[in-house]
Amino acid sequence: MDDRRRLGMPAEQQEDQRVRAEGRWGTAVTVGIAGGLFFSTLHYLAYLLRFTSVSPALWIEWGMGKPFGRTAAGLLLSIAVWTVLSVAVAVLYDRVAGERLNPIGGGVTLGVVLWVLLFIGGPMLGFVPDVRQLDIDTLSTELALFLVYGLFVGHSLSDRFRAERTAS
Amino acid sequence: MVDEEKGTSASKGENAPVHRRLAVNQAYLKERLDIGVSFDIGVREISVGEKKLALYFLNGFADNMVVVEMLRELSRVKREELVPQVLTRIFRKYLTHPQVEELRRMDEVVDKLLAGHLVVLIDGEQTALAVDARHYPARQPEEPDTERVVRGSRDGFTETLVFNTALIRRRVRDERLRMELVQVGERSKTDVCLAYLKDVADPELVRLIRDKLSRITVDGLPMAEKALEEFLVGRNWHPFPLVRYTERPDVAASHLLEGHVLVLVDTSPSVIIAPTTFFHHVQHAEEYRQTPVVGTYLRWIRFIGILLSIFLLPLWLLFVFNPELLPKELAFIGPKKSGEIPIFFQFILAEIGIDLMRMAAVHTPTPLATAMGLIAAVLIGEVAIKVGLFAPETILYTAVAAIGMFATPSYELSLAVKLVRLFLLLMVFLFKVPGFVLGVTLVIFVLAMTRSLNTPYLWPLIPFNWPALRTILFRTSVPSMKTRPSIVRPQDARRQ
Repeated sequence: MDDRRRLGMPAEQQEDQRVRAEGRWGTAVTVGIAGGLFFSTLHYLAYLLRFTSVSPALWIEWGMGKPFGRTAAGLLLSIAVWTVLSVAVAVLYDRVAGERLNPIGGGVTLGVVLWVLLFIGGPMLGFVPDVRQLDIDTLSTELALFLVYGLFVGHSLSDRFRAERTAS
Repeated sequence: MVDEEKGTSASKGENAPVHRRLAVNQAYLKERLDIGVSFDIGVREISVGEKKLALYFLNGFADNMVVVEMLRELSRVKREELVPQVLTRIFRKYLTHPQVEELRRMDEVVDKLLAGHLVVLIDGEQTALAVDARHYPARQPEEPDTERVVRGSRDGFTETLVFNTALIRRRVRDERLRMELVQVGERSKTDVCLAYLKDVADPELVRLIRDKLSRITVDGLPMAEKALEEFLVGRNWHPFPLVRYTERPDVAASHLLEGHVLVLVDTSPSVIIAPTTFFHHVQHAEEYRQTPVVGTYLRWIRFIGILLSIFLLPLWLLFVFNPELLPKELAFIGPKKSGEIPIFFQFILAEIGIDLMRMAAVHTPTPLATAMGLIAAVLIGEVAIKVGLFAPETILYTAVAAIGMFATPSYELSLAVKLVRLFLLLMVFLFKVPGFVLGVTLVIFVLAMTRSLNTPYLWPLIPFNWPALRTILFRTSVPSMKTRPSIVRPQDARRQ
């Protein structure tokens, strides 16, 4: 357990101050873009294999109708939408919680919160069908995706590892 | 031996100094080591300029030619030349050997003697001399079996610590390379060397490892670096390797230059590299021996192999259970003749079979190995299918997964991956789709929470570091690698 003590505290804190002043937006945006691209692609893969019945193109389908959502253009557009949303989430997380939360715990919480938002709040706006109508496959796949996304964002934006994260 | 630190020998609690009279010292040694009982401890009493000397040595280590030379020089010394400062004269002028040390305690005398040194006790002096005239039975550096490259240097580490450090120093001639020696193990007193670049490696990491090494209290280290690894990173249940091993000096030297810390153990050619992440285990020296594009291609093939090795079997099992999950284009996947036993148990049997075959191949003497391979591959597979034990697809996919496993550069990682695969198979068998996704999520979480000597295991994926990730995904050319990876927290991030 003594491994978990932070190594070299004063130097790292100084560096943290400097990095915090310089690169806050940069890292959050990078993490957001990477997360959004990667996980929406994974989502599409899961949709292809019918692990989940919710398509990643759900934004497009809601906004512009189902037929457009099935096309390649619709898919790419919705991946872009996911990426933008992810950047917003990442920046928000960084501002609100980045310093204080445990990397793992914060990430898990973020994932759960997002999943709840989408699947409990979503049906009201018409994005997704109601939770009771979705089967366990879809629910568990979506939950897994959001959990790992949350871990990705939370861990990357956590204060403890800023030193490893900056472009060096 | 200039960089040597004396290890603490907390043996029997006797702190007797070297006595003035030779007879007392000799009696002490005779009692402690039972000189007459162990046949390989030898004594030679000689008179030098009318002073009595006793030479103690270990038969197996003493290089006879060196000893004869020394004695010849000593025998020519006349009394007038020695007295009054016997010791200094002998030490400075007449004992012609580059590595001579002065010892003041009998504990040190015993330790040095048993390490193979030649110990000289002088009548009338309270200091003994230890001459390092050791002659090891050692093999030549050969290319290690598990880390071959098609083109490149073919030397590998041997079991002798001094030669290994020499191989490294040949590649890193920097004055700031430090090789600290520590002795570990009550009875084995194994030499362990900590190697690092003083102005590059993270000093906290060096201190952490040094602390851990000094706090090891154990009988001995017969399994050399493996036992040491458990003391350094000590996790019992976690199958993933938390340190990287290598037997190639060029790999070791390049890790040193990046800022890692190496731990070399005497009697073992494997060198521990710390700290390490998951992605260190999937890279291989071969990729750096080819052009960047080809190296990237090779790396990606390796990634695909590893991914296949993890996911192919569980996914296929999932599609066997739920064929409706497959998109139309891939609907041909799926067992046509499924054999008598449920597919899950076929997979378990096949995994056990592959491991048994691998163990058999290791234990079989080489002339029989080809015959065994033929029997195993052709006959058993064919007959098993005919009997109905296996479906043909089972054997195909297990073989693909096994090849993916063998393509993994790090042997320890391939074994850990096998366990992950078995776990995922079980989850799919029990819970189908939710089992698969939640199993994968669980594995990712466990890996993300692992830390090897305070470095996160999935760096640079989680926490995300795009520049470093780019160098992993694409083998970047050496001139463009200007900075050291930040995970080792180097003091100087710019490579010179």
